[in-house]
Amino acid sequence: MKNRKSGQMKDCAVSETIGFVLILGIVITGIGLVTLYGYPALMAQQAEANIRNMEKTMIVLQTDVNTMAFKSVPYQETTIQVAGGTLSVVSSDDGSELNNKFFRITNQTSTILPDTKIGQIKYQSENEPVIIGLQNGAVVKWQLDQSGGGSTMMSEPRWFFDSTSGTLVVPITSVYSTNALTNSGISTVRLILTEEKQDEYPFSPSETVHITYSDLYGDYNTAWKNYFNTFESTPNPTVDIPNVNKLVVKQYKITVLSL
Amino acid sequence: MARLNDEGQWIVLMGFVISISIFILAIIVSQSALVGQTTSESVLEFSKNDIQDLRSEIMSLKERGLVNDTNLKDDIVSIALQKQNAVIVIENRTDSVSRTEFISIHFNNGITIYNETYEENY
Repeated sequence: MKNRKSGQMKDCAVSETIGFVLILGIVITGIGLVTLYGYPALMAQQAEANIRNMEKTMIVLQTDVNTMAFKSVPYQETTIQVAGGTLSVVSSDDGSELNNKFFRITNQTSTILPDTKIGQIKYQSENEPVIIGLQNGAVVKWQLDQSGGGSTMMSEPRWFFDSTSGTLVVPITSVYSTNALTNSGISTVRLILTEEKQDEYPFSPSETVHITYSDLYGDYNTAWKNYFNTFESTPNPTVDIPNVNKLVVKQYKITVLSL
Repeated sequence: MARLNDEGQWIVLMGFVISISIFILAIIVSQSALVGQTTSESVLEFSKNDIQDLRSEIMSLKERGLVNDTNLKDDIVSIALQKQNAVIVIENRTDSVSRTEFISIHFNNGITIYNETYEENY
């Protein structure tokens, strides 16, 4: 009582050894906790950051493709960083099961665009079950899981319907490469516009145009279905756009020279 | 043992506050980079020059009395579709009662929609 009143403390029970053991114990427990929970969380965060980065990179590549298609620029070169996964090109003439993704355009009487494979520039993450594709001028993301997963469209293609003139403009952009291209790390994507074609179909009276996206292997179906819903409500990756006076189908062939 | 000296505790507290502030600032900076990119992209996408060129061409045709020339109109529409991916409708009508000439320009490239009606008394 006397000591407490005078503000002095007893240090008879203070032991340097016990103090050291306690502090060492706390430090080891801390390191253990970080290794067990912190490190995996950090790795997951890193993988997520890589995917986010790739989403932005794909939008940059999409801008390149749009610049070539819609601004008459013949060549584009962009250096990008591919981390935590692989960037590859699925050429539109690739006959494998991986490339069973095509578009078809018909009207009430005839086929305007037969089944056309469009290929894609594809990023596949190595840590997360995610595929991001630059496909037909759109950036689409496919989240895989046991039941097949779902997909979403990160950035839309340049399709539009002008209601004033009843004109529907559908650009079809196909990706092509002569060699199998794959890369990881710093990658220079060199793109060249090799073919450009424009077909106009005036309808009188106006007609309903059917556009179908068919995807036998992957699941970009949901992404395209949701995009088609911006034109007309549809439960399938098929859309019927009514009252079209003129249909313009623009086809661009983009060749990837290197990754 | 000497009395515990707790006068330096504010240094620890300030360190804690500063580290949290830096963390929050880092989040804000990363967000603003994203916004900056989007804004610059949308500025690039805005087809101001395409619209200015189109308008200047139509006004030049009007000055020369050629705005009703179907071939010239078709050429402008085709070139705009081919080069700018834009649908264009040009209409010219005259109201003899109010002695007014109207020229309507409609431009749509899927991102930018522009409508203008030019009126001139004659």
